[in-house]
Amino acid sequence: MAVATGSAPVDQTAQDARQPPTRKRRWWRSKSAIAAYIFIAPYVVFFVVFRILPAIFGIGLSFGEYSLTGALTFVGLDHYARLFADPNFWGALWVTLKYAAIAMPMTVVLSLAIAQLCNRMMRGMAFYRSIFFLPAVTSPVLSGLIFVWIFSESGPINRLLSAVGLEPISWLQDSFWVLPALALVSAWMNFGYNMLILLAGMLAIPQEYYEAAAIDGANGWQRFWRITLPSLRPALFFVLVLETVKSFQTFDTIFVMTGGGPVRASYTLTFMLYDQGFGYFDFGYASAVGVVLLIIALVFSLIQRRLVGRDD
Amino acid sequence: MRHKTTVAAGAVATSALLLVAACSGSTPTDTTDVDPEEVSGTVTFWTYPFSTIAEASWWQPYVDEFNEEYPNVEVEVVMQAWQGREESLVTSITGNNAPDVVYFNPDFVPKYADQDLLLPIDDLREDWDQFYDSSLEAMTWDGTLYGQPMLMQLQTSYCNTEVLEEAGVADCPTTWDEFRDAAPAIQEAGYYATEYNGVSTLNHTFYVYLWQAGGDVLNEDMTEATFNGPEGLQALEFIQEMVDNEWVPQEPLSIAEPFEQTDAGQGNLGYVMGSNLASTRQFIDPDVIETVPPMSNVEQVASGSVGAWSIFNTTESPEAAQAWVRFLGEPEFLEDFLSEAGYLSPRADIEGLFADDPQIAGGADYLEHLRTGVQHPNAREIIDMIRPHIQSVLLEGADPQDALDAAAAEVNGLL
Repeated sequence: MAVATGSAPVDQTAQDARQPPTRKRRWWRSKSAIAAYIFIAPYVVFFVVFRILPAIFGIGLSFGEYSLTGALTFVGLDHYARLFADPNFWGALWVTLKYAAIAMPMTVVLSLAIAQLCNRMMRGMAFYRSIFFLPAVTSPVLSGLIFVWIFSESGPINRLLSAVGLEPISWLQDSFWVLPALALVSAWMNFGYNMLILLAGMLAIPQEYYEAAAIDGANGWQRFWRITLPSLRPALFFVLVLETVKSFQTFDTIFVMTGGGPVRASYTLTFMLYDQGFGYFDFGYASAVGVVLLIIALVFSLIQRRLVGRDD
Repeated sequence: MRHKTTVAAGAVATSALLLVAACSGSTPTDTTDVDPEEVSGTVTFWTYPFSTIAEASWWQPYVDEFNEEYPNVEVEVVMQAWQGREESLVTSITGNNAPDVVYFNPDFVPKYADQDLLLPIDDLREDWDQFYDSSLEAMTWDGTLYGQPMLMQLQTSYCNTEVLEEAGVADCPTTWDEFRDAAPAIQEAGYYATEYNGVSTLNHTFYVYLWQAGGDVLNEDMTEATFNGPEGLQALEFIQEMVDNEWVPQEPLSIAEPFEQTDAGQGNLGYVMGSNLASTRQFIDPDVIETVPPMSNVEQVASGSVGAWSIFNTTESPEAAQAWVRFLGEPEFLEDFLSEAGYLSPRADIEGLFADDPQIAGGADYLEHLRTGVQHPNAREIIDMIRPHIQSVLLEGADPQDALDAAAAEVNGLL
């Protein structure tokens, strides 16, 4: 055994001396990598052409004045100076942050709860998962119209409140309630997609963890808190970023349900961007709003990465 | 990272429209004496669903008729949707793909003319004197005519006779005071006296009460807001009185519901100040509708709109586009179109269109009282500035004068 161990380096050295030195092929030059490039190339091309380039152009546009006739003049930081002096911008920014602060946690908690419910072997579970996913493929405009009725004075929610002896709430007419009501619609529309991501994460957690915890006497809540949640961190981080971005970008439902009202209580930055661009043809100013929205979403995503996704 | 980038793209979505720029300009030419055989080119014609005229095929016989005179002009009829109307237009213009002829309402004209995109049509035809002055004024900006009127729409005032009967109200109100007298009885009978829509364009809501009170939105040279004067205050206090007394349903103050779901669509209103009769009669029995003259206080004013054909100066075939628009303004075509779509005529020489429909025909008597809105490039922005302040009075109990002054300060900042 000792002889064999001692002779191995000698044999290897001799072999190296016989063969010319070969450079190890980098992984990104491997055949499988090239095949991957070919498969993702169409997506990358479309992404660059229809997402990246317009975004870069939009950032550039925020420093210019553009008219429908095609005239473009450079105005430097004028739009940003005007923006920061515009009380409507600060109002819209405050509404956007409030909406995101309500919608994002509401959606994530609901998604997590439904994913946990669906994470069990049960007869007909595939059917329930499909049902839960349905809102994700429903048109936001249609959802908005349905929820206008649901939140109406004579709608089911207020009837339910009346049935248990509570006063009906003017969900979409009251500045206090309008954002929670809109956030609820957002949660309803988005939880199905998030549920799938979280469920996939839950199914990937080894059962041994739960068995070991059960032997140690951990109850259901402790298993969820100590095993499921930490193991879900990558999926949860993805969902958090996704929901943050969606919250900042929400437009369709607000447009259909409240038009930004009452009294601008649901007038978000995306609504302002739409008004300035399509309504008033002030494309440079609208782009400045978009850039601010981009920076905010970026900052929040980085904070989330630091808090939730730092180990990934 | 992909999602962050998605934000960038989504947040500046409008920029996607702006990659292609530069529009060529066409100069107006007098084409009334041009030989039709010599006129050639393609005319892209954007129309919209007008009542029962919802298919592009409806236009084909008229295109054929036009081609008998202009054989070398190809008219491409594109039936657009009302929804996303302005977005489609902006996208097409910035994509250097604007239509040649398009349907416009009065508030579009100053906005697009101010962007130097429209072809003046003062010399398009010789019989302008046959068109109602109010229809031509609605399509004029800065002394130049930019649209050939094709229809006039009066928001008809009417009462629901069943509701009035139950409430014991003998006559349908036609003045603010008569309305104040009738409203409590209608409310007592379990109905709403009327409706105030707090989310729609002010052209059909607050402005109408303001005009009826004798006021105006802006001063004559459009450099300063005047809606916060005594007339504006009177108008807003009148609306506030309706809301505070619950003479109107609460939801339309801040929510845009489909018409059929509203109390107006369900026949729960005693009086409606402005309505599209053709749509209303799909849901309300015409036999219970009693049309009345437009409401008056200091002045008698009805809201409504004018529809017109405008020509973009980006057209490569200005003569062909003008010829097509001229054809669309001929009495023979308008008679067919208006009788089918149910709108009023912008031409005085078309009479007896709705002889068998006195409810619609009666609207023609009040066209002189028609006000369509504020003729200003920033008209929509002005509305968007005033509307939240009106809502603050109606929903949150803000002081009407303070709210109007705050709105006026915003508007003056814009002007």
